Amino acid sequence: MSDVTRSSETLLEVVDLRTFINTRQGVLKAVDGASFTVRRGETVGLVGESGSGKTMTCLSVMRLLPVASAEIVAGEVWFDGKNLLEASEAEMRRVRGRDIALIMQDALAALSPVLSIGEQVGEPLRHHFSYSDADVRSRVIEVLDAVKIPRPSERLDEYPHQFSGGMRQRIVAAMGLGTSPSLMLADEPTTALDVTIQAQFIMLIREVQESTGMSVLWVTHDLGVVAQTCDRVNVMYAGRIVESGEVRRILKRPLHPYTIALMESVPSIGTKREKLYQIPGQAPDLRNLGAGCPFYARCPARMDICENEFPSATDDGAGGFVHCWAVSQ
Amino acid sequence: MTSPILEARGLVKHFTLSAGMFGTGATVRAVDGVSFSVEPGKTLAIVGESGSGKTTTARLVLLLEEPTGGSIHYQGERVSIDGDREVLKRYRRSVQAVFQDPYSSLSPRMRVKDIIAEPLRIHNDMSGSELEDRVAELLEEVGVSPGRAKHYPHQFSGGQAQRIAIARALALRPQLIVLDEPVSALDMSIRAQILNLLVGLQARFGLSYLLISHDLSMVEHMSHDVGVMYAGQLVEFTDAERLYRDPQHPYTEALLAAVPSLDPDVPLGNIVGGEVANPANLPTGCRFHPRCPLRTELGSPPICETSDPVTAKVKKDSSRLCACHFRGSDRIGTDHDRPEKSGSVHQA
Repeated sequence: MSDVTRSSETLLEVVDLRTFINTRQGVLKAVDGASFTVRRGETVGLVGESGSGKTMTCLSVMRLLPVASAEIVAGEVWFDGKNLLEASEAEMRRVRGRDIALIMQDALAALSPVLSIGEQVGEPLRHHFSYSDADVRSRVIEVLDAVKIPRPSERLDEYPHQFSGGMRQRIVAAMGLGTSPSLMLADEPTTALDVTIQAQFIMLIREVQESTGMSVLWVTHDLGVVAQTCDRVNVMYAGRIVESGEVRRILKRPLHPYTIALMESVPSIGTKREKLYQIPGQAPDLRNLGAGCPFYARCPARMDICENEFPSATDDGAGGFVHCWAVSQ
Repeated sequence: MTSPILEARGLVKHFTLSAGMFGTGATVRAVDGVSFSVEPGKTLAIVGESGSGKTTTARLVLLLEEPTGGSIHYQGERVSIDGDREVLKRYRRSVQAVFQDPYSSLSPRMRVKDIIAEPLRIHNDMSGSELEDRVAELLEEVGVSPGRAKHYPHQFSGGQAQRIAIARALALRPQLIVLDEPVSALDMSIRAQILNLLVGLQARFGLSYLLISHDLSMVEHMSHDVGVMYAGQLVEFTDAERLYRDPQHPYTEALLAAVPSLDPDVPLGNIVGGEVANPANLPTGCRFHPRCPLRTELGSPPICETSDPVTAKVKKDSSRLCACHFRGSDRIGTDHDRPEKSGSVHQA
């Protein structure tokens, strides 16, 4: 949180974010002290399994928590020099969809079936800028063309069901890109897509970034997608970022036992193994987290101290960190 | 060579879209002439993208759909929905299935013990303590505590629920299990548990698997033979080792190139454009030709648009197939067998 880290290079800085959900069975710590940064032009990964808190982190940044019982109880979200958690609702409305775009996994759910794609891609432009109808239309065509929708000037009057799954996801991206946002939060944008279509989408986002300098926070569970998209990665487990660092360091020299286990449990083409490493047990109950490391029960490297005390960050010597007693000692 | 446990010969499944107010009455060629065989104790994987027809193929094998054409042979005997009842009964016992989402394949209103006991009651007339013991044994087999047999599926995590689905599939001591995307719905850290379990069960019971998946990395890990489907057809079929080392068909190459490597220094390969062909409106000739990088490289030879390599390259030995006019050791004869075609290669 020093002035050094919040330099002009840093676009987004999340500091000790805690988002809890009140349930009948108790408080569920969906995000439990997450800190990370995204620099300008950079792609940063947020990797984890379902329930690790990655989607809740994105929604907290946008202040779009899904249920009334969810609450950001602590933390700071610095975006372009402003703490979004202290911004007024009116200020947030100016940020959402203009400076920060959010795209989600299910393109069909993100698109209205009763509006043409032209209207939907144009909506943020009408909302945020005082564009004339003609200006909106020409910008929509430009953006649809950028996401490689063929014959955009004809197709913008068509409806979502008239497009394939891959095209729909590109239309959702177009909805986000029209306002030239400086940050895109991409929450599992390719998970529902086939591999060839996923590869097309990855290249598309990369092209957009090269031409506009947009930053991307790429949320995924797929380590291959991380390897192909991200500059830096944050590994989340049970609401905490347990390891963070440069993508090559994380994937080639993972330090946290969870990251190591994940790498060894995923089949990868060309590295045929007799048996996959299997992480025993299952993810912990987020309503019943102790004070210790949440990976303790499944960890092959656990020690007594791990059960009762969450380790502080250890520098990885390359600008990243890891929270693990086995590494720090 | 041992005889295959299961053979599919020229399977075809066409659906007709209703010609109602918005319908067109078009024919969807979901599966269009697919032949393969599963060897005893081995895993054959069918890979392909959505819309390639792989799940319809699985449903045909399970006799959940009546084929429009072609046939299925189990241990040399032809099986069909309206065939000999005794044969059909034996087939239903010997061939079981595990589907993608255990929460939808397991009845939410049944206790786990009843879910697993059901096939034993129906097919084996088992009851009482014999049945209870067998259920407990099956649960142990898949790593679920028999103490939880009274619980309902929703009380289990996804991985545990999938283990229960596997236990049900094992109940009748089948010889072949159709696995339709068995780990796609599960979390990363759970997938390895289920894959290791399946590999272990195969070795223990000599099971054969027909694995349906879109995940090429998982398929490499699990399979002995692989068939690659595109737009209702098998475009390449070979042993897994060879497929990954030396893919022949341009579509297989494109699929493998699109799988993101875990190594950031290995970039994505050549990315093929376009999307899977619409099975209600298929391209002429080779169904992959509008997207095919090899065709572009060769200067768009007309044969790709005029001749379907799948039909043109049907051959006796089904152990290796590459349905491409320009690739694979099993090209249609030699050049003098098809002078006009080989000539046309260089025309364009």
